[in-house]
Amino acid sequence: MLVSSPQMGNVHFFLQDLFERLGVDYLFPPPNSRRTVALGTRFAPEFACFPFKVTLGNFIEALEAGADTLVMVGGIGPCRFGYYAETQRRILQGLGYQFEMIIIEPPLAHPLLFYRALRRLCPSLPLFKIYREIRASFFKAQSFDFLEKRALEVRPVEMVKGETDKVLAQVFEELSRAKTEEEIVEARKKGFAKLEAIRTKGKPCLKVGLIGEFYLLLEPFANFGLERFLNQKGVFVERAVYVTDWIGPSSTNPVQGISNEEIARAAHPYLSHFVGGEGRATIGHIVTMTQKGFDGLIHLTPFTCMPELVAKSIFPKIQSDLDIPILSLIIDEHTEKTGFLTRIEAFLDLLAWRKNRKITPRSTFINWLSNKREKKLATYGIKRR
Amino acid sequence: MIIVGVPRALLYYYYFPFWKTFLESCGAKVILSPPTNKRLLEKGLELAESEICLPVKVFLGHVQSLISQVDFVLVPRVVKPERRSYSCPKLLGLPDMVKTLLPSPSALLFPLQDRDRKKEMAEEWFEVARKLKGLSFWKFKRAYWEALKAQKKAEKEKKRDFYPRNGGLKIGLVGHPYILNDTYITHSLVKRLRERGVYVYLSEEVESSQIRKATRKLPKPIFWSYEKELVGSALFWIQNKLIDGLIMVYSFGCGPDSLTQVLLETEAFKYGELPFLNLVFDEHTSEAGLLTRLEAFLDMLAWRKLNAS
Repeated sequence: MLVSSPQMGNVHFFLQDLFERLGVDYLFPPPNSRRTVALGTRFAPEFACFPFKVTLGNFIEALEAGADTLVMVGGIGPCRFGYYAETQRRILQGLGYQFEMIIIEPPLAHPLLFYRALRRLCPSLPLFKIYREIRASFFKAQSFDFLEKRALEVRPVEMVKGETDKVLAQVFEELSRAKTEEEIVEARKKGFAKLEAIRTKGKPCLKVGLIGEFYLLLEPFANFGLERFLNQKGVFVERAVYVTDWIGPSSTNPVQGISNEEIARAAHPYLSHFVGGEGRATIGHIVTMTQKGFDGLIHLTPFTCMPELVAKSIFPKIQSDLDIPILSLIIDEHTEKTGFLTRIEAFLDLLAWRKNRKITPRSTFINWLSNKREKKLATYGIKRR
Repeated sequence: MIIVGVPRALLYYYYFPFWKTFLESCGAKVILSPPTNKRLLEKGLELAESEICLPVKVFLGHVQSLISQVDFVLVPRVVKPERRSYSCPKLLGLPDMVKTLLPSPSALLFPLQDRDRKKEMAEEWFEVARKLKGLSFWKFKRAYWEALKAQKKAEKEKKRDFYPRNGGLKIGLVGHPYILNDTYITHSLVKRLRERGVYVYLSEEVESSQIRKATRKLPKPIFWSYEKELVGSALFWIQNKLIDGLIMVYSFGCGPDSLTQVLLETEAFKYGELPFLNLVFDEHTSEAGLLTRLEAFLDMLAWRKLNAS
C-alpha cells in the first residue's frame, strides 16, 4: 500500500512523520506546478473552487507516480470542503484509475468513521499506540508551526537578505529528524535559539494581516509565495490560519493565539452566525487585527467560495466602520503571478502613504471639501462605493 | 395595522405557508413583492457582490423594492432545514448581508429556523410575535403550532404519486424551486417544456420517503438538505427508469450544485447512459441560446427513443 495525499503548506511534514510512525508507506505527492492546476481544471467541474482543482491535480499526479491509496480529509458543514473527497473519488474512478480513497472524518463528530479510516490505514496496530503516535506527531507538527510563525517575525527585519530562509530550512530538517518527545522539545528549543541569533536591524515598515480561505493562506504555490514576498519588502505579516490550528481538535488555536470564541465575539456585530468555512473567522480577524493596530489586510478567496463571499459582502460596512483598508483578491486557475503581485505592491504603496500622511490644514480642508461633496451627492441619491 | 413584507425569492418558495399563517395570526398584514422583473433584478445587481449567485442578487432586489412600503421585512435565517444537514452558507449569512446593505436595518426580522435547535427557534419566533403585537404566550404557541401544521400540509399537497408509463417524452428537471419557479430568470423553462408535450418531473413532487430510500446507498450522505432533495429525487427517477433524460438547472456560482452535478452525471451514466443536460443561469442568460440548447436536447431524446423502439 502506497499512500499519498494532497499538498498544503506544512501538512506534508505532519503526514510524513505520522505515516512513518504508523508504518505506512507514504508517497510525497509531486510538487504543485502548472501541470497540476491544468490537470485539475481539466477534469474538475467548472464551478468547483480552486482548492478542489489543485487537490484533484495532486491526486492525478500521485496516482501517475504509483500511489494506490489516497488520503483526504472529510467533514460535514455548509462549506463544500466536506464533499471534496467523495466527488474527487467519482471523477478519478471515471478516469479509470485503480485506487482506494480513505476519507478521514473529524474524530469528535464521527468517531466510528474515523476509527474505520484508521483501521484501513493500519489494520494491526493497537488503538492506544495509534493514539500515542498521532499525539506525538501532532506535537511535532505544532513545533513546525511555531517556528514558522517566529520566522515570519524575523524575516522582515533580517540584516542579510535570505538568511532566515536558510536557517529555517536547517531548523526544519533538524526537527524532522527528531523522534521522541524529548528530542522534539530539544530541537524546537535549538530552532528558536537559531532564529533568535539572526542579526536584525530596524523595525518592520508596515504591519499587514493575511485573512481568508485556509488553503490559499497555507499553500505557497496557490498564493504565489505571498508571505515571503511581503517579508522581503520589510512588511510584518500575521497569518490568520496555521496548519495545526486547522486540523487540531481544540478551539483555542494555540499557534495563532486567538480562540474561536473570541473570534465569534469579535465578529458578532457584523456576522452573528457561523456560515461555514472561514467566513466568520475572516470577519473576526478583521476586527481583532484592526484593534491590534495593523495597517492593512489582504483577503484571499478562491473564485465562487461561498463562506468568503458572505464575508466579502460585509466588507464595505466593516471598512467604513473601522477605517481599515482591505484588499480582497480572488484567486483561480487564471490568476497570474505578475498581476497578483503588482496589485499587492500598489496596495503596500497605499498603506505606506496612509501611514506617513500628515494632518495639515490643507489636508483637513480637502477632507472637509470631499465630505461636503459626498453629502451633496447623497441628496441626489448617488452613493459612492 | 403592521405590514410585513416577504420577498418573493429564495426561501419564499419553501416556507411561505408557515410564514404567512404565523404572521397573519400575529395580526400583521403580509405583502409580497412583485414577481421578478428587469427593474428588480437591476436593483439587486447594483446592491450585491458581483460574484455572488443569481438568486441572492434577485433576493436583494426584492428586499429593496419592499423596504419603502412596509414596516418590517422578513428574512429568516435557515440553518438546518432537516436534522444533521445544513442549508447553503449564503442562506446562513443572508440576514447579515441584507443588514449591511440596507439603509434601515431595524426594519428587519430574522428569526432562526433550525431543526436541531427547536427551542431557540421557537424563542426567536416569539420575539417576532412580540415585535408585531403583544401576543400572549399561549396565543403564540397556538399560532406557531398552526403555522407549522400549515407548512406540513402545503408540503404534502405538492407531492404527487403519478408516473405516466407511456406517451411522449418524460424529463426529470433538477433545480431549486427558487430558480425553476422564477419565470423571469429561467425564461419560463418549465412552461416551455410542457408546451412541447413533455412530461416534467419536479423534485418538490417526490415523496420524502422515496428520497431517503434513493440516497441511502450513497457512500457519503449529502449534508445540504436542499441538495439532498434534488439529488434524491433525481436518483429516484433514474433508478426506477421513469425518465428519458435529465436536466439539471442551477445558477452561476452555486457551490453545492457544482459538486452534486458530478454525482448526478456519473449516476445518470451508470443507469443506461441517460442523457444529461446541464443548464447554468445567470443574469446574462439569453432566451434564444437557452431555447436552442433545449430544442437540440429534446430532438436528441426523441431520436433516441425512436431508435430504441
